[in-house]
Amino acid sequence: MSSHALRAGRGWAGRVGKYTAVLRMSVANNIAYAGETALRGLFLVLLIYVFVQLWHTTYAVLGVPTLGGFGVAQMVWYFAFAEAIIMSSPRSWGKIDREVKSGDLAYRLNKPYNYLGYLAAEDTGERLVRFVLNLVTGSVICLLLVGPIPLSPLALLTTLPLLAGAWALDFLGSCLVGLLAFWVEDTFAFTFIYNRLVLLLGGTLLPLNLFPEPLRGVVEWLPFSAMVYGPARNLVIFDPAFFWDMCLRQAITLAVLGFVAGLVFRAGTRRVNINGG
Amino acid sequence: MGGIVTDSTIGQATVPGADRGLRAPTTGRVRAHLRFVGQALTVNFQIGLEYRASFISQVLGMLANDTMWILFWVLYFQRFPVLQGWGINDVLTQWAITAAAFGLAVGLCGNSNQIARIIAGGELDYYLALPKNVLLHLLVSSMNLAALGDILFGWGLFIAFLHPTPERIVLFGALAVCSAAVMLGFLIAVGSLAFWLGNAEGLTMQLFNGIITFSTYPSPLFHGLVKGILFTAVPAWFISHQPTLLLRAFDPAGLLLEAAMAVVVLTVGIAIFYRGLRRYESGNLLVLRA
Repeated sequence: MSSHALRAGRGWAGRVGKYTAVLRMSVANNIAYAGETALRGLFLVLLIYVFVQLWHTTYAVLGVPTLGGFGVAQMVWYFAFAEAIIMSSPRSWGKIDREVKSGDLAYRLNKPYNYLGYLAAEDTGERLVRFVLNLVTGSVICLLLVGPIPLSPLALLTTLPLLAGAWALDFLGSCLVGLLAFWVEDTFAFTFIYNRLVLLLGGTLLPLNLFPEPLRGVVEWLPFSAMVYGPARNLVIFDPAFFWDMCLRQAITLAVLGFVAGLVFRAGTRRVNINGG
Repeated sequence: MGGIVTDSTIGQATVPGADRGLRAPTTGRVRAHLRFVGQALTVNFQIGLEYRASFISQVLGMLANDTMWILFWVLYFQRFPVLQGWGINDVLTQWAITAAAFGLAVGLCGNSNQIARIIAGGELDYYLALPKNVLLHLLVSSMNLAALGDILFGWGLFIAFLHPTPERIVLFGALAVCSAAVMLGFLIAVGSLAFWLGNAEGLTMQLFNGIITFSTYPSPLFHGLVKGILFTAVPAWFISHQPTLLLRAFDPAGLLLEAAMAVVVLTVGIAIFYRGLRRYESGNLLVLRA
């Protein structure tokens, strides 16, 4: 291998290594506070219990074994997985909002890393720890309340890339909301609206294929469907056509959101005034 | 975001006999406390309005949040019209009452869900050093602006969709106050756990989420032991389910029960707080309030 290639390899490795180190630190930090995250799992237990009651009652009243292809157990497992995704979100918007308002952003901008890349690594580390804890909690409760569901190895394997895509999309969405802090006094309203859109239009509370037409046709095309519904449905009702369709949607949405986030960040940092002292 | 009351200018009771060191008459003290609460709320509101964009943003954010939840139930009932006798109107009523009560209990008494943090952080010292009722001062020294959006949402939902005749408006108002009292009593009680447990912030947050969750899902979903819990330890039944039943079909005995439970839960919450206050020790924390 030539010395030029070696230098290029080290440069590349060095660049990726920075963010890998941030990811490792974030995981370690969040494991240190795993108890607090586990306590928050109590709320997940309550939510799953309430939705078990809701769906048991709904299926019993309608007298049907399946709704939109979901049996009762599958519906509950779907909800538990979707909520594990939602509750693992570290809310990067809050970090950006605070750093813009407090001026800490100025310290970040002159560091030898990309600010959004740094946030992405930190976000992923926190999300990973929270998701694993929420998934374990949700799985135990689902096993106790509705029992296991058949999960094919292919469903488990293919859900992983969809989950990674969902996390990336949610991170970019949160970033876009947080970056509004460059222009607005308070991003509270936008974050609340964004979180609720992901909850409702992402299919957490009601799978998107149960939405009435023509609303169903609209929400399936929105980016929120790829953030929660995609991986959750792929896990409990695996369908290769659905998997490839969701991969394509995620790829296109990631490209668009990533481009927009980069543009917004550049436009926002031009507004940064740094006062010396 | 919230307000800070500067006690130098407001809330100074001027009751007959106070200058002679005599115990003021009860009605005078009650009037003084009400005046104090009114002035504290006014100041907090004015402070919130100083950051107008933020204030509007928080109120709108909460309105959007509540609207999304209603959208979910509208979608659900479009697909599945009846849930064991409950329809969309019952769920709307439940949400209207809970939102209005939440706005009163958590919005106007902005520190009601911060009690555990304040106790654990030693911030209670400030209130203990002042000649005002400690719990009352603690509760109204801050306002949760976002929760004011809940008041707007609750009343707006009732007036727009739930047949607001003059009698029903009065009933709704009375039930919202009773529900708020139940919610406030519960929040004071769970927040006061910090007197015994120390850092109880995480636990109180989960209990708070729990009572909100139980209050906003239809009552036919809950049976047996869980239903028993909703009548007692986590009194969500009296926050939304009982008021919903009363707005569906008025029953004087039911209203009496609701009012009685409001008094009981609030009294128990206050008693737990003052019981715990005897265990409180100053942490010598210096707090700058400007």
